[in-house]
Amino acid sequence: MTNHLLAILGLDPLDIIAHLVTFVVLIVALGFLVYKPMLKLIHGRQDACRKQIEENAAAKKEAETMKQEYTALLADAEKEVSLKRRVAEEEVAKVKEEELAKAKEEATRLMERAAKEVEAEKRQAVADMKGEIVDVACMIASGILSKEISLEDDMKLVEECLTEWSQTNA
Amino acid sequence: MLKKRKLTVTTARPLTEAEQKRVVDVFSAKYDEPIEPDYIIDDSLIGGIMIFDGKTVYDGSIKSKIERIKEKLDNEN
Repeated sequence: MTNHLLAILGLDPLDIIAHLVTFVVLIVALGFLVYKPMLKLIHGRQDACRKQIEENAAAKKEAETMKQEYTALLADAEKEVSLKRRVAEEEVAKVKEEELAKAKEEATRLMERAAKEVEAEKRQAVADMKGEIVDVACMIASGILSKEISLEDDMKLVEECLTEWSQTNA
Repeated sequence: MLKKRKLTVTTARPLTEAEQKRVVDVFSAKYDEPIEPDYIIDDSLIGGIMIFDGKTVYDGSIKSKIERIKEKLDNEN
């Protein structure tokens, strides 16, 4: 039956066997020549991918660590900036307060000096006025005496002077 | 001849003879030597008498009294 079918199909059983042997040899040869290198290549690729993934994970971890470090540094920097700003603000407030105190002191000093000057000028004016009054009074007294003094009074005055000088040494 | 000490006697009016004699008596007794007064009239003295013996001034004039009062008042200011 099989032989009859093969005859109908024009196939020789030996050819079939030869083909099967060739096929098996080909499969074995391909297994050695292609499959194993391919497998080895695939394994290598898998290892490379795994290694790459591990490296990526490590890099990611390192990046995370760096990010945390940078975040911490940034926080420190912000804290330092804030501290410096506060110190600077305190310094500015202190300088402002000192300048204000100085200005107040200067104003007080100027006012005191002005008051003293006013007082001195007032005293001087009063003294000048008194001097003027004395001058005028003396002038008036001289005028009155030069007109009013009598000969008797003058003689009496001369005598008093001579009496006094006679009793004292030169 | 004995040398006389010179005196300059200044008054606001001419002195009477009695007054002139009194001046001579007082100052010749004071210096124990004769004097020779030179009389000058200066009405700015107002009254009283001022005598200068070459070194010392004896000032009994009203003018000087007023000036002393003025000086005192000025110093009190």
